[in-house]
Amino acid sequence: MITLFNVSKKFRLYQNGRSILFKSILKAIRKESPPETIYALNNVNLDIRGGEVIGLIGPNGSGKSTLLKIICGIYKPTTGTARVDGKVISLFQLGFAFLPDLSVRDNIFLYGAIMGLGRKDIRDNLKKIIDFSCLQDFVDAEARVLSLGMEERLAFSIVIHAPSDILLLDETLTAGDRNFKNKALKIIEEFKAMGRTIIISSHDLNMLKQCCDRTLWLSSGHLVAFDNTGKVIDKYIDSCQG
Amino acid sequence: MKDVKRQYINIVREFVIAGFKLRTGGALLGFIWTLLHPLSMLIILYMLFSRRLGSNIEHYGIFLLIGILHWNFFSRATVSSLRSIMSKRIILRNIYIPPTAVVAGSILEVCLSFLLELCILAGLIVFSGLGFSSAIVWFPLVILIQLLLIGGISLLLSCLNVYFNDVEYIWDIVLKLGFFVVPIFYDPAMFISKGKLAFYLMNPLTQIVIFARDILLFKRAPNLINMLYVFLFVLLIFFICYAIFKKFEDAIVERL
Repeated sequence: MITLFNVSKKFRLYQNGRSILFKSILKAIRKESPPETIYALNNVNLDIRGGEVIGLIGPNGSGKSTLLKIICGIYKPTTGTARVDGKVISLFQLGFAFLPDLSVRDNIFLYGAIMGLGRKDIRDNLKKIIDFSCLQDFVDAEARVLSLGMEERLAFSIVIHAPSDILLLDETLTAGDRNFKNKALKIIEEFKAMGRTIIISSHDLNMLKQCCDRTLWLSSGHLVAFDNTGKVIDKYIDSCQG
Repeated sequence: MKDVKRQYINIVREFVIAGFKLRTGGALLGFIWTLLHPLSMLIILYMLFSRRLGSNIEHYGIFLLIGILHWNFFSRATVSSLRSIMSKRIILRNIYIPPTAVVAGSILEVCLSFLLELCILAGLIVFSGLGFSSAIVWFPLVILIQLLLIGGISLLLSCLNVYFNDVEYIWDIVLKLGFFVVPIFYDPAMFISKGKLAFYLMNPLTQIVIFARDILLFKRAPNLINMLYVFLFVLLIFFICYAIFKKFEDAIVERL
C-alpha cells in the first residue's frame, strides 16, 4: 500500500520564511550565495501493506512528520519515489485547524469536507461524531472555547467517520483523557481488522507497544530500524540511555 | 478521479459557507450589515458627483451602483484570496488539500455576496421604472468573465503573498489607483481624449463595467467585438497565472 523508494527530502535552512520584496531584489542584485540545506529524510526505503498498525519513533527533528507528510502528499520527495495506494487521511497534533469563530457544528462540516465527507455523510453521522467526542454540550458553542484535549477528541472523531485506507496520526492521542484514549485504541484495532493501515508517530512508547505490530525508528532522517515493535523500542530505549 | 472532483467541490463549498457565516454571523441581519459599505460608498460618491460628473448621466445613482458593485467584487475578492493561503496555512500544512480550493473558496464567497447585492440592484432597477430588456441574457457571461479575471489575479497574488510580506500593501496601492482608473463614478468618453481612449479601454475591468452598464442601464447588448477581446485577454491572464501557481504549488506548502 505504501512503498517508499530511496526517498530523500531536502529543506533550505534560514530562507523558509517570508521576506520583503525589496529585500529579495537586493539579494538577487548582490548575488548572495544559496542558503544552507538539510536533509530531513535521507534515502528512506519502506514497504507497508494493508492491515497493519505501524509505530513511528525517533527524537525531535528526526524526520517523523516529514515522512508522514510525504505519505499523505503534502510534501513531494526531493529525490526518490513514494507510491501510496488508497485514500490517506492525516491528523497532526498541531493542525486541527478549527476556525475559532465558527460554531463546533459548522467546524464539523468544514473539517469533514476536508477529510473527504460529503454534506449528506456528515449530516447522517453528525450525532455519532458528537457522541464519540463527548461534546454534546458544545455543539453550538464557538470552537474557541474547546480545550486542546476536546479539539483532539473532535478531530479524531471526524477522522474516523471519514472514508480512508490509510490513517496517519502524528502525536495525536496525547491530549485526550485516558477514557478517550482507550476508546481510540479500540477504534484503531477495528480499523486494523478492516484491513486499513494506521501509522502512529508518538513518544508514548507504552501506547505504541500496546497497539503497533511493527515500529519504525528514524534518526536524523535515516531509517535506523523497522521491525517488531518490542525489539525496536527496546533498542531505542537503550540508545537513549547510552 | 470522480471522487477527487467531488471532494474538491465539497471543500470549496464548505469554505464558502464558513467564510460567509463568519462575515455575516450566519444571519440575514448580518448580511444587511455588510451592505453598509457599498451603500455608504454610493451615498458619498452621489453627493460628491451627481451635480458635476453625473449631471449628464441619466439614473446616475444606478450608474454609480453598477460601478461600485463590480469594483467591490473585484477588490474584495482579490484582497480576500490574496490572504487566503496564508490564513489557511494551518490546514494546508497538516492535511493534503489542493491549494487552489482555498483560493477558489474565498473568491466564490465574495461572489456569493456580490450576487446577493445584484438582487438588490435588480430591485432598484425595477423600482426606478427602468426595467430590464432582453440584453440581460448577456449578463451571466459578464460575471463569468469577471470571475475569470479575478481568478487569475488571485492565484498569482496568493502565491506571491506566501513569498513576500509586502504584496498586500503593494496590491492595496494598485487598488487605490484602480478605483480612479476604472470608470466607477464617471463616463470615460466625457474627459478622455479620442487618441487615449483606445488605450484606456484596453483595461478588461473597465470593459466589464461598461458591459454591465450597457446591459443593465442602457438596455442594449454589449459590443461583441470588445467582449470577445476581453474574454480572450482574460483567458490568457488566467492561464498564465494558473500555470505560475501550479509551478510553485508544491513549494508554497513547504514555505507555510
